[in-house]
Amino acid sequence: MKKIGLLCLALVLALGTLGVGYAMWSDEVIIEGTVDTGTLRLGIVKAKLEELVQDKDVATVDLSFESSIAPWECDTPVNAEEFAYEKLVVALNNTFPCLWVDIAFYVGSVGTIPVHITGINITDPSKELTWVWEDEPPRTPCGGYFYHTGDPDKEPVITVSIGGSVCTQLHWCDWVKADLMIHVEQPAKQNYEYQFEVKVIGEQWAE
Amino acid sequence: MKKIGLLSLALVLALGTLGVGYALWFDEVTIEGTVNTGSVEISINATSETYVYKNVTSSAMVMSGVPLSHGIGTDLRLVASATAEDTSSGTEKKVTMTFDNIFPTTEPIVADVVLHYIGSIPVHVVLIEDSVDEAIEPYLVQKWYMWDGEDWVPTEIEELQLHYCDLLKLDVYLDPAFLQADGKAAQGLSGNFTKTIFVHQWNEEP
Repeated sequence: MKKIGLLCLALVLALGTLGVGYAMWSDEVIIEGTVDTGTLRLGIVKAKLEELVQDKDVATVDLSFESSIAPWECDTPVNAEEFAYEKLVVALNNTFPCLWVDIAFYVGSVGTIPVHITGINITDPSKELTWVWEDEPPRTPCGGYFYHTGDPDKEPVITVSIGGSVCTQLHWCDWVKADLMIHVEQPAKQNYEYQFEVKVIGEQWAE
Repeated sequence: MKKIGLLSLALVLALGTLGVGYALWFDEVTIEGTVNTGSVEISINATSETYVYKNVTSSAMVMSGVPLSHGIGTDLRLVASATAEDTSSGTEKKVTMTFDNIFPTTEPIVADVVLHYIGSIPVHVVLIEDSVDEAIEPYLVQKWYMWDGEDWVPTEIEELQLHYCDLLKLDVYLDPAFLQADGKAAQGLSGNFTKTIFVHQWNEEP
């Protein structure tokens, strides 16, 4: 009986302190927020062989894409791919010196931030060819520059000229057409498939 | 005649007792009172926002504290925004902030809210809820300021005491340097945050 009494006393005291706690006045403000960051996405959405200049129909050019970035959900250009891709892979088969190849490729913006195209990088995944700029870049060159291969002191194996107004600004769903004009030079190897990757570089327009 | 005599006697006696009543000396004190209780109240005083446009003719970036005419027929395209809106309902006081399409910029893209303490009792400030989704937590910056009569002065919110008419400001933005440093990892993120600012009379603990 004494224990029950003590328990009751403890409860009363506890309720009493609770009463003090709730006895104060208060007010409150709620601040809620949602955050979405933008995206800067630039991809190659279409490529086609425009011209293959050769006397006999021996050389072939394969075009393929690697690393999809995002769906290309825009109406143009005609026959565009379903995705925008990070890389265009160009494979030259059974080539020979003096072969001319003209490839058109289309670069599209699939990001929400306007993008400024600053250049095009060409690399050879097999490391057979080292692509260098004719002019040392402060930044990756865009149009009108030539690339060549191997030791700059030696004769190039392949030269590539980039045509079209590639270095432009694109908004979501905008695209621009560019050209790769490829010339196979005299030092090219026999019975060898030359392959290189084309990647377009961009940065947000405001920088 | 005897009855008239008795009636007269009764009247005389009655008047006599009345005379005694009026003959008392007396005095009095009146106590009057007015009661005003205090109040604890914090209100949403103002909100402000930032809009980021691209001028498609000059390529310039335009930041504005007010929405500008943009879209077809103008040079401006809306790229990003940070807005704050008073969405209070009934007794619930609420501000809803929305950060849309945020990207690295030289100046942060800020939304803010100014709270005004209009209660008559001094209060303590407590953040009873301060949650941020993991995805945006590294980038979200929240800075508190108090108005000193001339300028906004940075302050800590915890243990802060407010008095009548104090102004408290919260700036919220995503740190441009961190967004820039993280590159693609910072792109395409979505997340929410909630803060509940609770004020209670300064001399008690919740």
